[in-house]
Amino acid sequence: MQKSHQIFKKLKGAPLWGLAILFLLIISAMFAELIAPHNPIDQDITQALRPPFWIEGGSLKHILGTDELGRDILSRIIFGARISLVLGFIAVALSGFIGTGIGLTSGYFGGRVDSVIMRVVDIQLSMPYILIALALIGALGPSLRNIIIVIGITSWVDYGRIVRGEVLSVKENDFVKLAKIAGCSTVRILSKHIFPNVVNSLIVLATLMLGRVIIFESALSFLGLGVQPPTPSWGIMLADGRQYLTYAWWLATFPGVAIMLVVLGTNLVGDWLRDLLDPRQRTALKGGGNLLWKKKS
Amino acid sequence: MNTQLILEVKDLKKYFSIQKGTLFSKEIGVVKAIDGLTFHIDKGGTLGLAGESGCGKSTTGMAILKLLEPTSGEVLFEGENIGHFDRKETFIYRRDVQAVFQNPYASLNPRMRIGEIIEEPMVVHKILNPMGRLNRVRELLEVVGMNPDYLERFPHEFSGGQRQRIGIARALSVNPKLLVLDEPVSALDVSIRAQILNLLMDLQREFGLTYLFISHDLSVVEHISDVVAVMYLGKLVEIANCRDLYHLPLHPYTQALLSAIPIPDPELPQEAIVLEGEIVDPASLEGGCLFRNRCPKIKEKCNEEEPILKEIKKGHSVACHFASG
Amino acid sequence: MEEKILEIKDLKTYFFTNAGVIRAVDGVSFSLHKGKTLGIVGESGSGKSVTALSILGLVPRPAGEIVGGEIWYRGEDLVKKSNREMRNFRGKKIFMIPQDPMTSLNPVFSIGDQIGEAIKQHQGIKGDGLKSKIIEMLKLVRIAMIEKRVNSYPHQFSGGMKQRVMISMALSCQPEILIADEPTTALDVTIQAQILKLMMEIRQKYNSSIIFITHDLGIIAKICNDVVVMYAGRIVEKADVVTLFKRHRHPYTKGLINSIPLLSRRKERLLTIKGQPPNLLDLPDGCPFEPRCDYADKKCADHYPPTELVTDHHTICCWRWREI
Repeated sequence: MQKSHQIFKKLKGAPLWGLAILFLLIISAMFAELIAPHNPIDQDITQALRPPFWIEGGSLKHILGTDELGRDILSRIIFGARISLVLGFIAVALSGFIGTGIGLTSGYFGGRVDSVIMRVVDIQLSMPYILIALALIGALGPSLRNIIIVIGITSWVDYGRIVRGEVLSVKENDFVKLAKIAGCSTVRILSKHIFPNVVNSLIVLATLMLGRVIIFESALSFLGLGVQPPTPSWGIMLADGRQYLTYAWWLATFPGVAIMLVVLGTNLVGDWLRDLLDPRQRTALKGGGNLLWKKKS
Repeated sequence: MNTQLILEVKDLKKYFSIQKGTLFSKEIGVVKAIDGLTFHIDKGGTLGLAGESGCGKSTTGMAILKLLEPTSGEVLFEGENIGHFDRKETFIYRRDVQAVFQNPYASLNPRMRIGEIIEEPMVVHKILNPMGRLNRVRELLEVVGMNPDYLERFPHEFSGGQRQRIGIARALSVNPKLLVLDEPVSALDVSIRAQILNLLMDLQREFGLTYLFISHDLSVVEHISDVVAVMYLGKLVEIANCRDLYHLPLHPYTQALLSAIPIPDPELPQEAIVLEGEIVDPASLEGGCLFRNRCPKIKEKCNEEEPILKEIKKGHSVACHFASG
Repeated sequence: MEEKILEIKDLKTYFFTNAGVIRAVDGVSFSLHKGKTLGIVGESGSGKSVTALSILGLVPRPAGEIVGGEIWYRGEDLVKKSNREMRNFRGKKIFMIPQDPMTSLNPVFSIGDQIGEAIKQHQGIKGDGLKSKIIEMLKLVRIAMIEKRVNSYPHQFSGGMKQRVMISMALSCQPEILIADEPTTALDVTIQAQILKLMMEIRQKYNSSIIFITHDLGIIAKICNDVVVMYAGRIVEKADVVTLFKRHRHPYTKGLINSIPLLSRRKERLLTIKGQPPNLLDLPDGCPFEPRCDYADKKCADHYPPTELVTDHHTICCWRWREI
């Protein structure tokens, strides 16, 4: 079939680095106990502030060095991946779920409902998310669960807007009208006709949001609003490491690099997914027929 | 009640209001998409609804398909006013009336296999069991001239003409009584157009279908219709049986429309009645004949009084002050 | 002897895509004579629009490229011209009216500004004289109430009016060659009649040569002197208009003419061309029309037919035209 043939060809252009990074992230998160050389919360003051192994004073016992309490940086980064991933997926799923539901409703039903929802979106977008986070965490107290809730509540707007936009354009297609004419219920139309044609953008957005969510968590933890010590999160590591930046730079740098790599990875993969999934969809919907770059002549 | 009448439209009006503002909107104007339409379709026949863009023919289709609520007037299906249907009756109506639209690329859900697409109306109306439906889908594909094994494929694997066939198969799956065809061949290549027109005519003969054929292309309309109704700016200007309309059009607009169709014969001299003037906002023409700013035969009375549809000869009605049979 | 103003020789324009090579135009040769109208007929995939783009050097890059052939205009081969050199021809001596004027009219400038731009560029008029010239050019195309509308924007005009603005721009450039690519396809038939009448008047007045691309054989019959029929990137038949309609020999031409619902054959089954339009990515070795042809034999499937002369002005590309 032409469809799978096209997919296969596109798979060749996959961003290997991006996928590798994400793969590493997932493996670290799942098998942290097996991979990490040390327990991330083990303190050993005698080993405090040891530099990475390639610098004088470092050793292979702590490849990336230790922090101010003698905890192994590498192990903390590996365990931190678990926090980031758990958080990432749940938060993305939560905001995705809320955002998609609202986007579908707003886009499909339009009218007053749509106007009201869009105004709510505008209002929420006009408030800096940090302030909202501060307020909510202040009320609920800092913990991993609460961060997830906060992120879910603030991030849904991105999904909502994009889904709504997609729904508006899909809705215009005749096959939606024909579904109505055939007697399909609203639920059926939304689930069989609208949602499947919108899901591609959703996947792309979710991938990109993963990186953003991880940064969000880091920011919150940095401010002390996120996970509490001794749980190792990259954000906390950044916060703790800040004061040692001038002479023990490795405390903050490596978690920073980890964050950067993950965001890079998700962006690369997200972009690639968008290219993979979108043009075929666009072509199929707007009249490309069997050919790719065919000019209408 | 005439049992031969499958559809009757009586003084149908659909006005769209132009709103301003978001939360608290105000009406600032009105677009009279359909302004007093009356016609009927006989069972087993084809009514061609012809006119150019903006005349209201597609809106009429939408109203008959119950996708729009009319502002006033009635649409009677087998004698019943569809505007008074409750949910159950509407659901049944959605079995009896199906449609085929212009754009073959937007008419099929790209995420569904064509077998599922054709089957869907049957699924919704709980007709047959899955096995029975599978057989019927295969049967329908053959009936529309396609290989029944294609039911596993996706829409993007097919050309425009083939997609229209799939759309027709879907429409037929629930044995509808009336088929609304809105420009079903306009987006197709000329050579494919002929195939689909033949198919539609064959199907009508075989299954006793009734068609409402909406199109701007008068040569296509003539080919397939028994009765033709010509619309202009929301009103019916002429309605006659096909032969009469094409041999002796009585309304100046119909005359211009027909003469404007270029005949594929270079040796036949063709003097098109070229209409001067533009299609303007009908609101500015109220109070008189809506065609008067372009009509080559305009007289004083046209400015003062709007002509109503009058039967000039048997089965031939015209809305013009000066039409004579 | 009529003067040849444009001569295309064995033009080949291909598109290089991920899925393969599309031979959109594959060896097309024809001439345009001064003061005459040449019609190019074809359906989707025929290559008619790409031919027009090739003449103007507007084939979309990088996928598209003219890979062979010559386009002779005033003693110069346009194929060899760079994009910068082509700008001297485009819009000046050769003007194109596209199918969708919305994409050629800039939505943020008024109609008056855009025509004014064209007039300034090609006729060199400026200042006060410019304003009256703009009105004059727009009056030529009979846009009603033009004084009031000269400052309107494209989105406020209907399709027919926009096309008239395009024609007016074409006139401002006083082109020698006007290429119209399905200019009336999206318009109502009464508006189409207006536009066609206008184009004929213009041809007469300025002695321009027109290439009119369309799928509508009725228009061809009405306004063209010569006709070229294209299928899958090649010319299958070429003749003057009367010969093409009355003495055509190619099965595709015959099929096209017979599939038109004429205002006289109602309710008869139309004679159709069976099958589907060609898939340009997967063309057969022989004649591309063979799968749909009622007269095809083995030779047609295996070998591409040569172009032969039926008479001096009638060429055909078919193995079996003598026997049909």
